[in-house]
Amino acid sequence: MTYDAGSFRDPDGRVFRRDGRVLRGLSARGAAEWKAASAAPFYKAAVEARRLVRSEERPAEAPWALVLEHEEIPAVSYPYEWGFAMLRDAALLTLDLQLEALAAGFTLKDGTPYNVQFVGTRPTFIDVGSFERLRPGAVWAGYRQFCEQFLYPLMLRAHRGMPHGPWLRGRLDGVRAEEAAAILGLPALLKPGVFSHVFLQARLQAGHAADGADLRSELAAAGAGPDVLAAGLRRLRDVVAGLAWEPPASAWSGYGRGEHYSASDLEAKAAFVREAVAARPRRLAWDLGANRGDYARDLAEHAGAVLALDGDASAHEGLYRSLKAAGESRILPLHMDLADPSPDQGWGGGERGRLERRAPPDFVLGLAVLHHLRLGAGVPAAELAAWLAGLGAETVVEFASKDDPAAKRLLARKDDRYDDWTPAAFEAALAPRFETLRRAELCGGSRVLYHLRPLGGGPRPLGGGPRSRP
Amino acid sequence: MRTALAAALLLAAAPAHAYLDPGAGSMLAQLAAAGFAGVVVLVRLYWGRIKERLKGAPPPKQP
Repeated sequence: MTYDAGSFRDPDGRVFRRDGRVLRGLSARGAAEWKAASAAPFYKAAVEARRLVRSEERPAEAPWALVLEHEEIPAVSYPYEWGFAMLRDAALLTLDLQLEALAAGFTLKDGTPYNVQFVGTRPTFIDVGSFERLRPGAVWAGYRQFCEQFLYPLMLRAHRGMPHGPWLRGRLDGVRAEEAAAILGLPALLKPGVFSHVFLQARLQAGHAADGADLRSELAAAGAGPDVLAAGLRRLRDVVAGLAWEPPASAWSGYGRGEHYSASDLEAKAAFVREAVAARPRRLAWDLGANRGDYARDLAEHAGAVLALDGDASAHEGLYRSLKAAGESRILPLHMDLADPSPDQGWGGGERGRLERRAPPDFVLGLAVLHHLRLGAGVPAAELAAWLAGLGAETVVEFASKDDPAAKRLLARKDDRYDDWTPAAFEAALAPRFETLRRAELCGGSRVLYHLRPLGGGPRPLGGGPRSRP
Repeated sequence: MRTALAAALLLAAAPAHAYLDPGAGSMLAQLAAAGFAGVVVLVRLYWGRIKERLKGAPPPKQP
């Protein structure tokens, strides 16, 4: 049985895959808790509203007392790839479900963003094994984790402009209370929720580290119950809902399809893309450098799902907000630097997998982006070609030569040592790896579109990653 | 039926600690952040601890 590399901490439930299906094994205890929770009206309503993943019972198999099959999420993403509004929406979903559970006598075992996945712009709670019955004297066991992985990252962004992605990628467990206190600083005490959730919690953590297992019975005797908990969680929800971050204007946030294209060039480009993607049904398309999502929306007409990647935080934030306002569920926007993409990391170097591992594409669109990787990030053309071919998908890319105004800006303060960046040299890099299905010139030849198919079939096998576990 | 019985026994016997450490300080902080009702619970908790300490103190020396 090959378990999901990120599913190992909870002995009462683990996720595994078989024949492309997503399955969850529950222990006898886990099964009892899930059966109770899933029978509750709040649970069923959340599934109907698509806020909670759908599950169906399957025959038990050793060592699990109960096996559930879940509907599949088109592309798995991680909180360090989400923008501010995405992280906040996932946090609000978590708190709302915890409040609904509390009212019905249940609680969540944890409070981690890895319990939430996005289907397009819709957050969905996936860890159904996290629900359990509330015991006397219990408080929310996920509160500390929620603060470390949701609240503090959001506060640091809202109050100090500090992006959460690098931190959450660098430490999966998030930000600790004393770290948040140190970075937010005393002036932040004026902001809602900072005193109690940051400074007071840091203080109490330091003072009570040695408290033992009797705390729950002490709390029960002192009158801790769901009403008090709910009151606290509603206040926490207000704090989260009130956190705001407006993305600063960047070089990319106002950029559209491209001011330097003529109308006929733009039409030709759009038609080229449409014809390529529509040639056969696509399961998952990647849009590299998606910016305002103009082409991502075209791709979504012909693909089951689209991953819209952009390395500019402001552009990404704007894209998520506009897609969400339109109720878009086919396009998932992620914030990612293509020259420094999400790696395999965590326990065993595979707990959280790289993007190609968890969301492999069958169509890739790279418009007006490769010259940034070559001339901006310095990745040689042969390496770019190898990387694209390794994705194993039909690809449409746009080559912008050094005469192009955008490329000229990238070279403005540098020596031009980029001998491999001409159409001929680029095509030479593509030739051993791709079959060129179609080629078209735009903008008087300074831009060239290619529709490519990788030679040698499917994606390059990825090293590392999950191993079979007992 | 037997599985249900076994599960019930398991649940009754288990200390019911989930896999994640909620953190003692965080458990208390959660209540502190819950407004007046939460503070009341904490006051009762600390008062209970003071009472335990007083009960455990040695009796005063008799003259």
